[in-house]
Amino acid sequence: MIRVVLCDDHAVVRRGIRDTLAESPGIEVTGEAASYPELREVLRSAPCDVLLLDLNMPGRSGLEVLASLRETHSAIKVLVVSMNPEDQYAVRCLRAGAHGYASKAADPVALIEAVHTIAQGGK
Amino acid sequence: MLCGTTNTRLRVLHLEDSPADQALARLALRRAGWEASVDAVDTLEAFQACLQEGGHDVILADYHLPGFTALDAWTLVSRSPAPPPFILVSGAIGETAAVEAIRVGMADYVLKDELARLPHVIERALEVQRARQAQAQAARELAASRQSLAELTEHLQTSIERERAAIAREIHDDIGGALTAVLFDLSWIGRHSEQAGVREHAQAATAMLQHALGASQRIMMNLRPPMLDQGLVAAIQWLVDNFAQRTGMAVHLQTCRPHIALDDALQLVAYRTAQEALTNISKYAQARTVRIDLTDTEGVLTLEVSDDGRGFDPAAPGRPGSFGLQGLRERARTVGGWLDVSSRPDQGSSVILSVPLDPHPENPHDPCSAV
Repeated sequence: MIRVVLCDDHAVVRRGIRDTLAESPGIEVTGEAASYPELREVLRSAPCDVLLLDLNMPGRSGLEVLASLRETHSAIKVLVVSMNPEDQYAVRCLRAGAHGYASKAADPVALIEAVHTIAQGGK
Repeated sequence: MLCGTTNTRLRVLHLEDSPADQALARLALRRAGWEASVDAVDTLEAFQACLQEGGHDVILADYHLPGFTALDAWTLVSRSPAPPPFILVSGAIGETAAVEAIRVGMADYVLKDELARLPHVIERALEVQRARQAQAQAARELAASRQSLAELTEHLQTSIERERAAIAREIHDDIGGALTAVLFDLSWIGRHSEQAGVREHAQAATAMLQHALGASQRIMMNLRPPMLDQGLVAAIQWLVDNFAQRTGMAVHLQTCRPHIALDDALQLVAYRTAQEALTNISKYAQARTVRIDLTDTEGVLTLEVSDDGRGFDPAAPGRPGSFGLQGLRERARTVGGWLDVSSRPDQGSSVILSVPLDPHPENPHDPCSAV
Protein backbone atom coordinates (compact mmCIF):
# COMPACT_ATOMS: atom_id res chain seq x y z
CA MET A 1 0.00 0.00 0.00
CA ILE A 2 1.35 3.43 -0.96
CA ARG A 3 0.72 5.96 1.82
CA VAL A 4 0.06 9.45 0.50
CA VAL A 5 -0.11 12.85 2.19
CA LEU A 6 -1.77 15.78 0.39
CA CYS A 7 -0.64 19.38 0.83
CA ASP A 8 -2.79 22.02 -0.90
CA ASP A 9 -4.44 25.13 0.49
CA HIS A 10 -7.72 24.45 -1.35
CA ALA A 11 -9.90 21.97 0.54
CA VAL A 12 -11.97 21.24 -2.59
CA VAL A 13 -8.84 20.38 -4.55
CA ARG A 14 -7.65 18.05 -1.77
CA ARG A 15 -11.04 16.37 -1.81
CA GLY A 16 -10.87 15.94 -5.60
CA ILE A 17 -7.40 14.44 -5.41
CA ARG A 18 -8.38 12.23 -2.48
CA ASP A 19 -11.46 10.89 -4.30
CA THR A 20 -9.42 10.27 -7.44
CA LEU A 21 -6.65 8.42 -5.59
CA ALA A 22 -9.26 6.41 -3.68
CA GLU A 23 -10.05 4.64 -6.94
CA SER A 24 -6.70 2.90 -6.76
CA PRO A 25 -6.73 0.07 -4.21
CA GLY A 26 -2.97 0.35 -3.79
CA ILE A 27 -3.08 3.95 -2.54
CA GLU A 28 -4.14 5.23 0.88
CA VAL A 29 -4.34 8.93 1.78
CA THR A 30 -2.99 9.08 5.33
CA GLY A 31 -3.00 12.82 5.93
CA GLU A 32 -3.82 16.25 4.58
CA ALA A 33 -2.35 19.70 5.17
CA ALA A 34 -3.60 23.13 4.10
CA SER A 35 -0.31 24.96 4.67
CA TYR A 36 3.41 24.31 4.91
CA PRO A 37 3.50 24.63 8.73
CA GLU A 38 0.57 22.22 8.96
CA LEU A 39 2.43 19.83 6.66
CA ARG A 40 5.27 19.67 9.17
CA GLU A 41 2.80 18.70 11.86
CA VAL A 42 1.04 16.13 9.70
CA LEU A 43 4.31 14.47 8.72
CA ARG A 44 5.15 13.95 12.40
CA SER A 45 2.29 11.48 12.78
CA ALA A 46 1.06 10.41 9.34
CA PRO A 47 3.04 7.67 7.63
CA CYS A 48 3.99 8.88 4.16
CA ASP A 49 5.62 7.30 1.14
CA VAL A 50 4.54 9.91 -1.41
CA LEU A 51 3.75 13.55 -0.76
CA LEU A 52 1.56 15.46 -3.23
CA LEU A 53 2.77 19.03 -2.81
CA ASP A 54 1.35 22.29 -4.18
CA LEU A 55 4.25 24.70 -4.64
CA ASN A 56 2.22 27.89 -4.79
CA MET A 57 0.79 28.37 -1.37
CA PRO A 58 0.89 31.44 0.87
CA GLY A 59 4.04 31.92 2.90
CA ARG A 60 7.41 30.46 2.01
CA SER A 61 8.54 29.68 -1.51
CA GLY A 62 7.44 26.18 -2.45
CA LEU A 63 10.89 25.35 -3.82
CA GLU A 64 12.44 26.28 -0.47
CA VAL A 65 9.99 24.00 1.30
CA LEU A 66 10.84 21.25 -1.17
CA ALA A 67 14.57 21.65 -0.54
CA SER A 68 13.97 21.66 3.20
CA LEU A 69 11.90 18.46 2.98
CA ARG A 70 14.75 16.72 1.16
CA GLU A 71 16.84 17.25 4.28
CA THR A 72 14.29 16.41 6.95
CA HIS A 73 12.25 13.68 5.19
CA SER A 74 14.58 12.26 2.61
CA ALA A 75 12.67 8.97 2.39
CA ILE A 76 9.48 10.65 1.23
CA LYS A 77 8.98 10.86 -2.53
CA VAL A 78 7.53 14.21 -3.59
CA LEU A 79 5.12 14.68 -6.47
CA VAL A 80 4.63 18.39 -7.17
CA VAL A 81 1.08 19.26 -8.23
CA SER A 82 0.86 22.80 -9.55
CA MET A 83 -1.22 25.30 -11.48
CA ASN A 84 1.97 26.44 -13.20
CA PRO A 85 2.62 24.99 -16.63
CA GLU A 86 4.96 22.05 -16.69
CA ASP A 87 7.38 23.69 -19.13
CA GLN A 88 8.15 26.38 -16.59
CA TYR A 89 8.44 24.41 -13.41
CA ALA A 90 9.02 20.73 -13.94
CA VAL A 91 12.78 20.84 -14.47
CA ARG A 92 13.26 23.27 -11.60
CA CYS A 93 11.23 21.06 -9.27
CA LEU A 94 13.13 17.93 -10.23
CA ARG A 95 16.42 19.76 -9.68
CA ALA A 96 15.20 20.91 -6.28
CA GLY A 97 14.57 17.32 -5.26
CA ALA A 98 11.05 16.48 -6.45
CA HIS A 99 10.46 13.03 -7.92
CA GLY A 100 7.68 14.05 -10.26
CA TYR A 101 5.58 16.92 -11.54
CA ALA A 102 1.89 17.02 -12.42
CA SER A 103 -0.04 19.98 -13.78
CA LYS A 104 -3.44 20.59 -12.25
CA ALA A 105 -4.75 21.11 -15.76
CA ALA A 106 -3.83 17.54 -16.73
CA ASP A 107 -6.13 14.49 -16.65
CA PRO A 108 -6.75 13.71 -12.93
CA VAL A 109 -6.45 9.97 -13.55
CA ALA A 110 -2.83 10.54 -14.53
CA LEU A 111 -2.20 11.32 -10.85
CA ILE A 112 -2.82 7.69 -9.90
CA GLU A 113 -0.29 6.51 -12.41
CA ALA A 114 2.20 9.17 -11.30
CA VAL A 115 1.91 8.14 -7.64
CA HIS A 116 2.57 4.50 -8.52
CA THR A 117 5.50 5.38 -10.76
CA ILE A 118 7.14 7.56 -8.13
CA ALA A 119 6.54 5.07 -5.33
CA GLN A 120 8.33 2.44 -7.40
CA GLY A 121 11.31 4.71 -7.77
CA GLY A 122 10.60 6.14 -11.20
CA LYS A 123 10.41 9.77 -12.22
CA MET B 1 30.10 107.05 -3.25
CA LEU B 2 26.78 105.71 -2.05
CA CYS B 3 24.34 104.07 -4.35
CA GLY B 4 21.06 105.82 -5.00
CA THR B 5 17.83 103.90 -4.50
CA THR B 6 15.41 106.01 -6.54
CA ASN B 7 12.80 103.89 -8.25
CA THR B 8 12.97 104.62 -11.98
CA ARG B 9 12.44 102.73 -15.16
CA LEU B 10 16.14 101.96 -15.66
CA ARG B 11 18.74 101.72 -12.92
CA VAL B 12 22.30 102.00 -14.17
CA LEU B 13 25.58 101.32 -12.40
CA HIS B 14 28.22 103.36 -14.21
CA LEU B 15 31.93 102.72 -13.54
CA GLU B 16 33.64 105.80 -14.91
CA ASP B 17 36.36 108.08 -13.49
CA SER B 18 35.63 111.00 -15.80
CA PRO B 19 32.74 113.22 -14.61
CA ALA B 20 32.41 114.55 -18.15
CA ASP B 21 31.95 111.04 -19.59
CA GLN B 22 29.49 110.24 -16.81
CA ALA B 23 27.46 113.28 -17.83
CA LEU B 24 27.65 112.41 -21.53
CA ALA B 25 26.30 108.93 -20.88
CA ARG B 26 23.44 110.38 -18.86
CA LEU B 27 22.73 112.81 -21.65
CA ALA B 28 22.70 110.05 -24.25
CA LEU B 29 20.15 108.15 -22.24
CA ARG B 30 18.02 111.22 -21.61
CA ARG B 31 18.06 112.16 -25.31
CA ALA B 32 16.78 108.73 -26.14
CA GLY B 33 13.88 109.32 -23.80
CA TRP B 34 15.15 106.99 -21.08
CA GLU B 35 14.19 107.70 -17.54
CA ALA B 36 17.34 106.45 -15.87
CA SER B 37 18.77 106.53 -12.37
CA VAL B 38 22.54 106.32 -12.63
CA ASP B 39 24.87 105.30 -9.79
CA ALA B 40 28.27 106.51 -10.92
CA VAL B 41 31.39 105.11 -9.18
CA ASP B 42 35.08 105.44 -9.95
CA THR B 43 36.77 102.91 -7.65
CA LEU B 44 36.63 99.13 -7.56
CA GLU B 45 35.60 99.21 -3.88
CA ALA B 46 32.65 101.53 -4.53
CA PHE B 47 31.71 99.42 -7.54
CA GLN B 48 31.73 96.29 -5.41
CA ALA B 49 29.62 97.97 -2.71
CA CYS B 50 26.99 98.98 -5.28
CA LEU B 51 27.11 95.55 -6.81
CA GLN B 52 26.43 93.94 -3.43
CA GLU B 53 23.50 96.24 -2.88
CA GLY B 54 22.14 95.06 -6.25
CA GLY B 55 19.03 96.18 -8.10
CA HIS B 56 20.75 97.49 -11.22
CA ASP B 57 19.34 96.76 -14.63
CA VAL B 58 22.57 97.34 -16.49
CA ILE B 59 26.26 98.05 -15.80
CA LEU B 60 28.27 100.47 -17.92
CA ALA B 61 32.06 100.47 -17.47
CA ASP B 62 34.99 102.36 -18.86
CA TYR B 63 37.88 100.06 -19.79
CA HIS B 64 40.90 101.91 -18.34
CA LEU B 65 40.45 103.15 -14.78
CA PRO B 66 43.05 104.29 -12.25
CA GLY B 67 44.80 101.09 -11.06
CA PHE B 68 42.38 98.60 -12.64
CA THR B 69 40.45 97.78 -15.77
CA ALA B 70 36.92 96.77 -16.63
CA LEU B 71 38.11 93.14 -16.61
CA ASP B 72 38.68 93.40 -12.84
CA ALA B 73 35.18 94.78 -12.45
CA TRP B 74 33.82 92.02 -14.66
CA THR B 75 35.50 89.43 -12.46
CA LEU B 76 33.44 90.74 -9.54
CA VAL B 77 30.26 90.86 -11.58
CA SER B 78 30.65 87.38 -13.03
CA ARG B 79 30.59 85.89 -9.52
CA SER B 80 26.97 86.97 -9.10
CA PRO B 81 24.42 84.24 -9.84
CA ALA B 82 22.36 86.50 -12.15
CA PRO B 83 24.40 89.57 -13.07
CA PRO B 84 22.86 92.40 -15.11
CA PRO B 85 24.24 92.99 -18.62
CA PHE B 86 27.75 94.48 -18.52
CA ILE B 87 28.52 96.96 -21.32
CA LEU B 88 31.93 98.49 -21.98
CA VAL B 89 31.73 102.22 -22.67
CA SER B 90 35.24 103.15 -23.56
CA GLY B 91 37.65 104.99 -25.82
CA ALA B 92 39.39 102.96 -28.48
CA ILE B 93 40.61 99.76 -26.79
CA GLY B 94 41.65 97.78 -29.82
CA GLU B 95 40.01 94.79 -31.40
CA THR B 96 41.81 92.24 -29.24
CA ALA B 97 40.57 93.75 -25.98
CA ALA B 98 37.05 94.11 -27.39
CA VAL B 99 36.97 90.48 -28.51
CA GLU B 100 38.32 89.37 -25.14
CA ALA B 101 35.62 91.38 -23.39
CA ILE B 102 32.87 89.67 -25.32
CA ARG B 103 34.57 86.28 -24.95
CA VAL B 104 34.60 86.46 -21.14
CA GLY B 105 30.89 87.25 -21.12
CA MET B 106 30.40 91.00 -21.29
CA ALA B 107 27.25 91.88 -23.17
CA ASP B 108 28.59 94.47 -25.63
CA TYR B 109 30.78 97.55 -26.00
CA VAL B 110 30.26 101.12 -27.20
CA LEU B 111 32.89 103.65 -28.13
CA LYS B 112 32.71 106.92 -26.23
CA ASP B 113 32.50 108.87 -29.47
CA GLU B 114 29.46 106.83 -30.48
CA LEU B 115 27.39 107.36 -27.34
CA ALA B 116 24.27 107.97 -29.38
CA ARG B 117 24.26 104.19 -29.87
CA LEU B 118 24.22 103.56 -26.11
CA PRO B 119 20.43 103.37 -25.61
CA HIS B 120 20.10 100.94 -28.49
CA VAL B 121 22.96 98.76 -27.17
CA ILE B 122 21.43 98.73 -23.68
CA GLU B 123 18.04 97.84 -25.10
CA ARG B 124 19.50 94.95 -27.07
CA ALA B 125 21.54 93.73 -24.08
CA LEU B 126 18.42 93.77 -21.90
CA GLU B 127 16.52 91.91 -24.55
CA VAL B 128 19.20 89.21 -24.71
CA GLN B 129 19.21 89.10 -20.91
CA ARG B 130 15.44 88.61 -20.80
CA ALA B 131 15.64 85.91 -23.46
CA ARG B 132 18.35 84.10 -21.51
CA GLN B 133 16.36 84.33 -18.31
CA ALA B 134 13.28 83.04 -20.07
CA GLN B 135 15.32 80.21 -21.56
CA ALA B 136 16.81 79.33 -18.18
CA GLN B 137 13.36 79.42 -16.61
CA ALA B 138 11.99 77.21 -19.38
CA ALA B 139 14.91 74.81 -18.91
CA ARG B 140 14.22 74.65 -15.16
CA GLU B 141 10.53 74.05 -15.79
CA LEU B 142 11.32 71.41 -18.38
CA ALA B 143 13.71 69.66 -16.00
CA ALA B 144 11.08 69.78 -13.25
CA SER B 145 8.47 68.48 -15.65
CA ARG B 146 10.74 65.65 -16.78
CA GLN B 147 11.45 64.77 -13.18
CA SER B 148 7.72 64.68 -12.43
CA LEU B 149 7.10 62.58 -15.51
CA ALA B 150 9.86 60.15 -14.53
CA GLU B 151 8.43 59.88 -11.02
CA LEU B 152 4.93 59.41 -12.37
CA THR B 153 6.15 56.76 -14.80
CA GLU B 154 7.95 54.94 -12.03
CA HIS B 155 4.88 55.11 -9.84
CA LEU B 156 2.65 53.89 -12.68
CA GLN B 157 4.94 51.04 -13.58
CA THR B 158 5.32 49.97 -9.99
CA SER B 159 1.54 50.11 -9.58
CA ILE B 160 0.97 48.18 -12.79
CA GLU B 161 3.42 45.46 -11.81
CA ARG B 162 1.93 45.23 -8.34
CA GLU B 163 -1.55 45.02 -9.79
CA ARG B 164 -0.47 42.41 -12.35
CA ALA B 165 1.06 40.29 -9.60
CA ALA B 166 -2.11 40.64 -7.51
CA ILE B 167 -4.36 39.64 -10.43
CA ALA B 168 -2.12 36.67 -11.25
CA ARG B 169 -2.28 35.61 -7.60
CA GLU B 170 -6.09 35.87 -7.58
CA ILE B 171 -6.39 33.87 -10.78
CA HIS B 172 -4.14 31.23 -9.28
CA ASP B 173 -5.77 31.09 -5.89
CA ASP B 174 -9.44 31.65 -6.69
CA ILE B 175 -10.17 30.79 -10.30
CA GLY B 176 -7.42 28.17 -10.61
CA GLY B 177 -8.37 26.44 -7.38
CA ALA B 178 -12.06 26.36 -8.25
CA LEU B 179 -11.48 25.14 -11.82
CA THR B 180 -9.16 22.42 -10.60
CA ALA B 181 -11.70 21.23 -8.06
CA VAL B 182 -14.43 21.16 -10.72
CA LEU B 183 -12.06 19.31 -13.07
CA PHE B 184 -11.56 16.54 -10.51
CA ASP B 185 -15.30 16.24 -9.90
CA LEU B 186 -16.26 16.24 -13.57
CA SER B 187 -13.58 13.71 -14.30
CA TRP B 188 -14.91 11.56 -11.44
CA ILE B 189 -18.47 11.81 -12.77
CA GLY B 190 -17.22 10.90 -16.22
CA ARG B 191 -15.56 7.78 -14.87
CA HIS B 192 -18.33 6.65 -12.54
CA SER B 193 -21.57 7.39 -14.35
CA GLU B 194 -23.34 4.35 -15.79
CA GLN B 195 -25.13 6.50 -18.34
CA ALA B 196 -23.26 6.89 -21.58
CA GLY B 197 -24.81 10.32 -22.20
CA VAL B 198 -23.62 11.63 -18.82
CA ARG B 199 -20.14 10.22 -19.41
CA GLU B 200 -20.03 11.85 -22.81
CA HIS B 201 -21.09 15.26 -21.47
CA ALA B 202 -18.73 14.99 -18.51
CA GLN B 203 -15.83 14.22 -20.83
CA ALA B 204 -16.67 17.18 -23.08
CA ALA B 205 -16.95 19.46 -20.04
CA THR B 206 -13.65 18.09 -18.71
CA ALA B 207 -11.93 18.91 -21.99
CA MET B 208 -13.41 22.42 -21.93
CA LEU B 209 -12.30 22.86 -18.35
CA GLN B 210 -8.78 21.81 -19.18
CA HIS B 211 -8.86 24.40 -21.94
CA ALA B 212 -9.99 27.04 -19.40
CA LEU B 213 -7.21 26.02 -17.01
CA GLY B 214 -4.70 26.32 -19.83
CA ALA B 215 -6.04 29.79 -20.63
CA SER B 216 -5.74 30.75 -16.94
CA GLN B 217 -2.14 29.61 -16.99
CA ARG B 218 -1.39 31.69 -20.07
CA ILE B 219 -3.01 34.77 -18.54
CA MET B 220 -1.00 34.27 -15.35
CA MET B 221 2.16 33.88 -17.40
CA ASN B 222 1.54 37.11 -19.26
CA LEU B 223 0.68 39.02 -16.12
CA ARG B 224 3.74 37.90 -14.22
CA PRO B 225 5.63 34.73 -15.09
CA PRO B 226 6.16 32.63 -11.96
CA MET B 227 9.49 31.83 -13.58
CA LEU B 228 10.70 35.22 -12.34
CA ASP B 229 10.82 33.65 -8.90
CA GLN B 230 13.57 31.40 -10.26
CA GLY B 231 15.76 34.31 -11.35
CA LEU B 232 16.32 36.42 -14.44
CA VAL B 233 18.28 33.87 -16.46
CA ALA B 234 15.61 31.20 -16.01
CA ALA B 235 12.82 33.65 -16.83
CA ILE B 236 14.51 34.92 -19.98
CA GLN B 237 15.35 31.38 -21.04
CA TRP B 238 11.66 30.55 -20.75
CA LEU B 239 10.78 33.71 -22.69
CA VAL B 240 13.26 32.74 -25.40
CA ASP B 241 11.98 29.18 -25.66
CA ASN B 242 8.39 30.36 -26.00
CA PHE B 243 9.34 33.04 -28.51
CA ALA B 244 11.31 30.61 -30.66
CA GLN B 245 8.47 28.11 -30.58
CA ARG B 246 5.87 30.74 -31.44
CA THR B 247 7.73 32.59 -34.20
CA GLY B 248 10.05 29.95 -35.66
CA MET B 249 13.00 32.34 -35.35
CA ALA B 250 16.35 31.06 -34.13
CA VAL B 251 17.09 32.66 -30.77
CA HIS B 252 20.50 32.40 -29.10
CA LEU B 253 20.77 33.28 -25.43
CA GLN B 254 24.25 33.88 -24.10
CA THR B 255 24.85 34.57 -20.45
CA CYS B 256 27.82 34.71 -18.15
CA ARG B 257 26.39 32.54 -15.40
CA PRO B 258 23.33 30.35 -14.79
CA HIS B 259 22.11 32.62 -11.96
CA ILE B 260 22.39 36.37 -11.70
CA ALA B 261 21.31 37.66 -8.31
CA LEU B 262 19.30 40.86 -8.72
CA ASP B 263 16.70 42.69 -6.71
CA ASP B 264 13.09 42.26 -7.81
CA ALA B 265 12.71 45.72 -9.39
CA LEU B 266 15.80 45.38 -11.56
CA GLN B 267 14.96 41.81 -12.51
CA LEU B 268 11.52 42.89 -13.64
CA VAL B 269 12.90 45.82 -15.68
CA ALA B 270 15.35 43.50 -17.47
CA TYR B 271 12.66 40.89 -18.09
CA ARG B 272 10.18 43.44 -19.46
CA THR B 273 12.90 44.93 -21.67
CA ALA B 274 13.64 41.53 -23.19
CA GLN B 275 9.93 40.84 -23.55
CA GLU B 276 9.20 44.16 -25.27
CA ALA B 277 12.24 43.88 -27.54
CA LEU B 278 11.18 40.38 -28.62
CA THR B 279 7.62 41.58 -29.18
CA ASN B 280 8.89 44.38 -31.43
CA ILE B 281 11.06 41.93 -33.35
CA SER B 282 8.15 39.56 -33.92
CA LYS B 283 5.91 42.43 -35.06
CA TYR B 284 8.21 44.48 -37.27
CA ALA B 285 11.70 43.09 -37.80
CA GLN B 286 11.08 40.18 -40.23
CA ALA B 287 14.23 38.70 -38.72
CA ARG B 288 15.58 35.16 -39.02
CA THR B 289 17.92 35.19 -36.06
CA VAL B 290 17.73 36.85 -32.66
CA ARG B 291 20.53 37.06 -30.15
CA ILE B 292 20.26 37.90 -26.47
CA ASP B 293 23.35 38.61 -24.37
CA LEU B 294 22.98 38.92 -20.63
CA THR B 295 26.02 39.78 -18.51
CA ASP B 296 26.75 41.32 -15.15
CA THR B 297 30.47 41.88 -15.57
CA GLU B 298 32.34 45.02 -14.53
CA GLY B 299 29.59 46.09 -12.17
CA VAL B 300 26.99 46.64 -14.88
CA LEU B 301 24.05 44.48 -15.83
CA THR B 302 23.84 44.48 -19.61
CA LEU B 303 21.02 42.99 -21.62
CA GLU B 304 21.35 43.19 -25.37
CA VAL B 305 18.65 41.99 -27.74
CA SER B 306 19.68 42.13 -31.38
CA ASP B 307 18.25 40.80 -34.63
CA ASP B 308 19.18 40.51 -38.29
CA GLY B 309 15.89 41.91 -39.55
CA ARG B 310 14.99 44.89 -41.69
CA GLY B 311 15.92 47.46 -39.06
CA PHE B 312 14.51 50.95 -38.76
CA ASP B 313 15.56 54.55 -38.40
CA PRO B 314 15.87 55.21 -34.65
CA ALA B 315 15.60 58.97 -35.26
CA ALA B 316 12.31 58.65 -37.11
CA PRO B 317 9.21 59.66 -35.15
CA GLY B 318 7.44 56.71 -33.54
CA ARG B 319 4.16 55.33 -34.68
CA PRO B 320 1.22 57.25 -33.17
CA GLY B 321 0.31 55.69 -29.83
CA SER B 322 3.49 53.63 -29.73
CA PHE B 323 5.37 54.14 -26.51
CA GLY B 324 7.26 50.85 -26.40
CA LEU B 325 10.85 52.09 -26.54
CA GLN B 326 10.04 55.26 -24.65
CA GLY B 327 8.42 53.16 -21.95
CA LEU B 328 11.55 50.99 -21.77
CA ARG B 329 13.73 54.09 -21.42
CA GLU B 330 11.57 55.28 -18.54
CA ARG B 331 11.67 51.82 -16.98
CA ALA B 332 15.47 51.77 -17.25
CA ARG B 333 15.66 55.13 -15.50
CA THR B 334 13.62 53.83 -12.56
CA VAL B 335 16.51 51.50 -11.68
CA GLY B 336 19.29 53.97 -12.50
CA GLY B 337 19.97 52.53 -15.95
CA TRP B 338 19.64 53.58 -19.55
CA LEU B 339 18.63 52.19 -22.91
CA ASP B 340 20.61 52.36 -26.15
CA VAL B 341 18.84 51.61 -29.40
CA SER B 342 20.78 51.27 -32.63
CA SER B 343 19.51 50.24 -36.00
CA ARG B 344 19.83 50.98 -39.69
CA PRO B 345 17.44 50.07 -42.46
CA ASP B 346 18.09 46.48 -43.64
CA GLN B 347 20.88 46.00 -41.09
CA GLY B 348 19.02 44.69 -38.09
CA SER B 349 18.58 46.38 -34.76
CA SER B 350 19.94 46.26 -31.26
CA VAL B 351 18.39 47.26 -27.94
CA ILE B 352 20.80 47.46 -25.01
CA LEU B 353 19.78 47.91 -21.40
CA SER B 354 22.62 48.90 -19.06
CA VAL B 355 22.20 49.19 -15.31
CA PRO B 356 25.06 49.81 -12.86
CA LEU B 357 24.99 47.24 -10.05
CA ASP B 358 26.02 47.41 -6.45
CA PRO B 359 29.31 45.61 -6.10
CA HIS B 360 29.01 41.88 -5.38
CA PRO B 361 32.50 40.79 -4.38
CA GLU B 362 31.36 37.20 -3.99
CA ASN B 363 30.45 36.99 -7.69
CA PRO B 364 33.51 36.02 -9.67
CA HIS B 365 33.56 36.92 -13.33
CA ASP B 366 33.00 33.55 -14.88
CA PRO B 367 33.91 32.98 -18.46
CA CYS B 368 30.81 33.28 -20.60
CA SER B 369 29.12 30.15 -21.79
CA ALA B 370 26.03 29.42 -23.81
CA VAL B 371 23.00 28.36 -21.75
